[in-house]
This record gives sequence, structure tokens and C-alpha cells, in this order.
Amino acid sequence: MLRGTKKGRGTIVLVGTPNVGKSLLFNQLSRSYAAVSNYPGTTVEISRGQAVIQGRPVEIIDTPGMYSLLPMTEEEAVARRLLFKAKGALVLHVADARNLPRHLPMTLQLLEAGCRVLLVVNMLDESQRAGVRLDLKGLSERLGVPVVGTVLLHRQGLTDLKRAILKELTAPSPSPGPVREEPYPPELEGPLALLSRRLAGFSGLPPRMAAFLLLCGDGEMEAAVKKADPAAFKLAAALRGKLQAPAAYTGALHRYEEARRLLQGCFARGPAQRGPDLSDLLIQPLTGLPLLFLVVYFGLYRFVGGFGAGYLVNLLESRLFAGLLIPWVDRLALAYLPGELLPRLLALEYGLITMGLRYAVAIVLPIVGTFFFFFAFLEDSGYLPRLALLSDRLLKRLGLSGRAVIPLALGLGCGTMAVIVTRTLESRRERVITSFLLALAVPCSAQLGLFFGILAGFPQGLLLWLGVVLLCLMAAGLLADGFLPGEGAGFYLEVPPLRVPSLANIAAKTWTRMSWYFKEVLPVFLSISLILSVGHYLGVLDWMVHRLSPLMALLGLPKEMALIFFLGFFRRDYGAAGLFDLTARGLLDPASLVVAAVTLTLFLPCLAQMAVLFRERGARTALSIILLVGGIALGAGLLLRLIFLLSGFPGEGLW
Amino acid sequence: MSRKIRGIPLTRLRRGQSGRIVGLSPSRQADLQKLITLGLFPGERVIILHHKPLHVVQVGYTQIALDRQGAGSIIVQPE
Repeated sequence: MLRGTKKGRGTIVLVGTPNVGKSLLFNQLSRSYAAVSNYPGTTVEISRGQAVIQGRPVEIIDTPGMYSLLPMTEEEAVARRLLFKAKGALVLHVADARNLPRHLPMTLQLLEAGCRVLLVVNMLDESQRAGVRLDLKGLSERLGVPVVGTVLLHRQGLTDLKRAILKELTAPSPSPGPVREEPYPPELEGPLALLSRRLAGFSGLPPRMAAFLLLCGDGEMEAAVKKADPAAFKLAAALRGKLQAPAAYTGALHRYEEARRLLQGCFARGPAQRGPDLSDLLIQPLTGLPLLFLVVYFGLYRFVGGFGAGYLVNLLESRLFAGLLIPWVDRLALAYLPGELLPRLLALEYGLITMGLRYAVAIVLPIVGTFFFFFAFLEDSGYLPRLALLSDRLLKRLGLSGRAVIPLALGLGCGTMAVIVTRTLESRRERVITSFLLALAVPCSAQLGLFFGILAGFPQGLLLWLGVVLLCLMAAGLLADGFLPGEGAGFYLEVPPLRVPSLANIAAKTWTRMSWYFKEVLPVFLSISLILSVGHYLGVLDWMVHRLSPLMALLGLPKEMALIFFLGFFRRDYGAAGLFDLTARGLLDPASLVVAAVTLTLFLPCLAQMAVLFRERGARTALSIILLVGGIALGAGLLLRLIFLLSGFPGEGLW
Repeated sequence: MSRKIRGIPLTRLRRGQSGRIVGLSPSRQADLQKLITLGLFPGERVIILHHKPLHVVQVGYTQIALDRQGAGSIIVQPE
């Protein structure tokens, strides 16, 4: 008899608290890739993959990190729903060896929920270094479930793990599986007994588990019971009212004591040891801020701006495209394609190859690629949680908490991705403010790289641009915090140890993100150039540029800029790439360049980001954000222009 | 729930000083659950590593950063 034969093969679900290595294991077992980093909350969606374990096909599911079976954030709720639905699946609970006392309560809870569990005790190397003594065999006997120790980062223990998985999947199954019945304190036992009798067979969960969730006031369980058995719902409410302490607390405390008891003799902490390390330097403002400056300077300015947007773009754009490909394509198109429109579609000013492909491959991809490489390095080193710590005070002023620094920093790479990552934030208020700031004042890596490149010969302009954008960011955050109802966010974050990133993982992650990005942008770029060449052919473009030219004149910009604003609406990076073109043609003086850079940075997010904004925040919020952003961008541009006119700065001779 | 136990809030522990958690008194129930899931249970021994820019506390081998409100709701008996 094979286990899980419903579909002819087994299913494995990976669960565990954030940052224990679930995604790493997922990648090692399956042939797909899920993003892995060194900060909690990397996985915000469920990934599914196929694995072959010793010749046997297995479906494998990675879930967002979960601290307990009582979800606190949206992504935890997603993980639990999946777990409860996957009946008959083998649940791999991945835990951190050093912190077993904290992780084991969830193993117990999984067993109470009737899951078939295999405990993976990961990061044995770190626990050994810390002097922790472990007896995994003894623990396995006490728990009654298989326990396997691993160092997933170095692929140690993987063979043992696969063997254990296969053994579990092929073992004759004691159906319906042993459900652990935790003897809770009397205060809970009475209500649990009463409730579980009424909930027998309800929702597929063991009745005691269902009763416990109901007693905790779990939202989803309450909603389900209210519909199916209103009397039980009322009973639960009445019983809950009589409790001395919240059931979630009493229950958790009990499981925690139980875990401690189970670990006695199987787990001993080493001597406490801790001296000052780099970690201290990173989070103290006095040293942390200069270090942050160095990270930004070398990472963003030198590496992404200098190497990516400078060297690589030059190589691809001037050498490959402008020097080789484009003259050739133009010539071929004019010689062999009939009519006037057809050659224009492929080649010449707005052609699919000469503009669409060139922008995507030669200008945007090298910049985004270098940014993703840099960001992956930051993620895996464990720097980001420390940055969150450092910036919490500042972000509190903007109605956010330090946690928001992760989506905000990712927004410097790709705003679209960043809006999705706001899911790791706790409150809706925080998610709205972060999305707003991302739409307004966080330039994406393509913009950033190009502006760095364009303004590189003009340091005053660069600083001015940075200053104005930062000012807008702060002002917008302060306003949002003042006007949005609700209270500010609390901050709590597990700070993982600093780790030396593995080059293989950085490369894999950069590659995955780049292919995601490329798949996203290429069709858009190509359609834009198609629209443009047709528009140009029909004269619509000229008409539009003409209509927008008064606004451009007001901003002190050449009328060609109208087109760039239009492009920027489709994709910010596309707009920035257009600006790059205009500057190369010498159409902008320093003052207009700063005005253009500021206005373009603040201006509407690209089409993809807007689509995600609508999806994640809803139409009303998204529309308000977009209107505000458009207004602020034009307002700031006009104000800046006015200041330039009145002060005479920066003059003509500086360029 | 644990007001009968004497102790001081974590924020008043000196840097480098350790204490044993004797109670949790967060203002919202959701915060209680947060503290529990982070392993900040009554009975655990904690060491305060930093007060600035935020409170960083070590429990077991885990380091946890908390703002003033979070740290203030953890009642400890200094050791």
C-alpha cells in the first residue's frame, strides 16, 4: 500500500517559522526555484514544484513563514489554509536547531491538527558552533515522529532526509493518523470538551483542534462555525468570556512547557557567548549611518550606477546596438520591406527592434540585473533587518515601522515587485502608506541608474535631485501619517545572524528575478514601440506633443519631453531611457535636466506597478494614490523651475 | 493577567543585564500573541543587548528587536 495514492503520488508541504530555510529545501528537493534570503518573510506566496525523490515523483509545496497555527498576517493565513486543505500530505516542519525550544511547540500543534509530520532540524552547523548538544534520535522517540538533522546551506543531511521522506510516503498508514491530544490546564479542558463534542467531523480538523481555534476567537473558524452551527458559536463566545486569560495564551504557554519537557535530555544550550560584532556597528546610528552611506555609495552609485548603467549599458547600447545592430536592421528594413509603415514597425526611430528591444536589452536589463545582484547580496548577508532597526525611528514619523524598509529598498529595484512585498507588513494602513511612497518617491533601478549616469558630470544637479526627491518622500509620509486614520505600526523583528552570502544562491536569485522582470517588460516595451510607430505614422504623436508643449514650456523643458512623460506612464524605466536619449542629443541644459529628473522620478508609476497597485490596494485607494502622485510631481516640477528662474541657478556654464 | 507578579519592564534593564520574564502586559491581545510567537514567554531568560536605536533582546539564541511599546510590555525580574 502506498501512502497518498489518491493522485498516484505523495505531496509534501513545507512549513515553519520565517527564515529557517524552507525555500532552500524547496529548491534542493524540486527543480524549481523559490527566492531564498536571510530575512524573515521572503516567501509571500505559495510555490509548487515537482520533485523526484529516489525515483518517486512527489509534489512539493513551499509556504510563507508561519509562527503558529493562529495566523497574524495575511500570508500566514494563506499558509494555514493550504495546510488544512492538504489532507494526507506529509508535512515537513523545518526548524532552527539552536532554537528548538521555540520551534517545537508548533510541531506539537501540527500533530494536534492531525498532520503527518517529519521534523527537519536545520542549521546544525550553527547550533554546533554555539555549543548546543542535541539528541535527535531521542527526540524522535519521544515525539513519535521522524526527526532528521540537516545543514541545508551545505546540502548536508539531504540524503538522509530524502530516505526518511520516502519511508514516510511509502509506509502503511495508520488511518486517520495519530492525533496528539494535548492535556491542557483544567481551565481550558472543560470548554474544550464541551465544544469538541459539538464540532465532531467539522471542517475536517480533529474536533479538539477546531474547538481550540474557536475558543481562541480565530476569525476563519468563527465564520465557518457561525454559519454551520450558530448555537456552538454562541456557546464558544460564552465560554471564552469566562476564561481568566486568552485561550491562545494559555494554550501556547502549555505547549511551550510541554516542548521544554520533551527536550529535557535531548537539548542542552551551550555557554552563552556574545561579544560586540559587526552587528552592533550596523545598528548604532553613529556608525550605522556612515556604513549605510558606504553601502549605498558602493552598491548603488558605483556598482549599479557606474558599472551597470555606465559600463554595461555603454557596451550594449553604443557598441552592440548603435554601432552594429541598428544600422544593419535599418538598412535591411528599408531595402526589403515594402511601403512606409512596415519598415517603421521594425526599424527606424520607434521600431520594435531599434527601440523596443534596444531599450529592454541594452538599457534596462543591465541596470536591473546589477541591482538585483546587489540586493540579493544584501538579503543574504542579513543586512536588511539591521537596516530596518536603524530606520525604525525615522519611519515611525511617516506612520510606518522599520519593517517597511524592506519593500521600500526593494522598490529601488522594481516598484512592481515591491508593492507585492508590502504583504509582509502588518496593518492595512502601513501597506497603503508604503504603496503611496513607492508610487511617488522611490525611483526604480532603471531610473536610478540612468539618472546617476546622466547627472554624473553634474554633482550639484545630482545632489539637488536626491535632496528634492527625499524631501518629497518625507513630506508625503508625514502628510499620509497625519491624514490617514488609525494608529501607527508597532515594531518587532527577529534579527537573523549575519551570514556570508553564497555566490550560487545570489546568482540563482538574480537570475530568477531578471527572468521574471524580462518576461514582464519585454512585451510591454514591444507594444509601446508598436503604438509609437503607428502613432507617429498617423501623426497622433506630433499632435500630442503639441498639446502638451505648453505644460513642458511651463516646466522650462523642450517639447520633446512630452513624449518622455508619455513613455514614462507605460514604464518608468522606458521614460528614463528616453531621457537618456534626449540628453545624449544635447537637448537639455542642466537646470531643465534637474527639473526633468525630479518630475519624472515623482511622476506616475509605470503601468505594471499601477496594475499591481489596483490588485493589492483596491480601486479607490489606487486611484487616490495616482491622482495625488500626478499632482505632487507636477507641483514639485513647477516649484523647482520657479526657484531656478528666480535664483539663476545653476547657470549655463556648469555643464 | 500577570499584574500580581512583581518586576520591572524590560526597558528599565541595564544594557548587558539579564532577567527572567515574569509577565506580559501588552495593551492589545494581538501583541500578546506576537510576543509569544517570538519566544518571549514567562520563565525565559533574556539579555538586553541594546536600548538604542531600539531595544534588542536575546532570548535563547534569537535576537529580537522591539520598539518601546513592545519592550515595555515585557515584565522581567532582574538577575
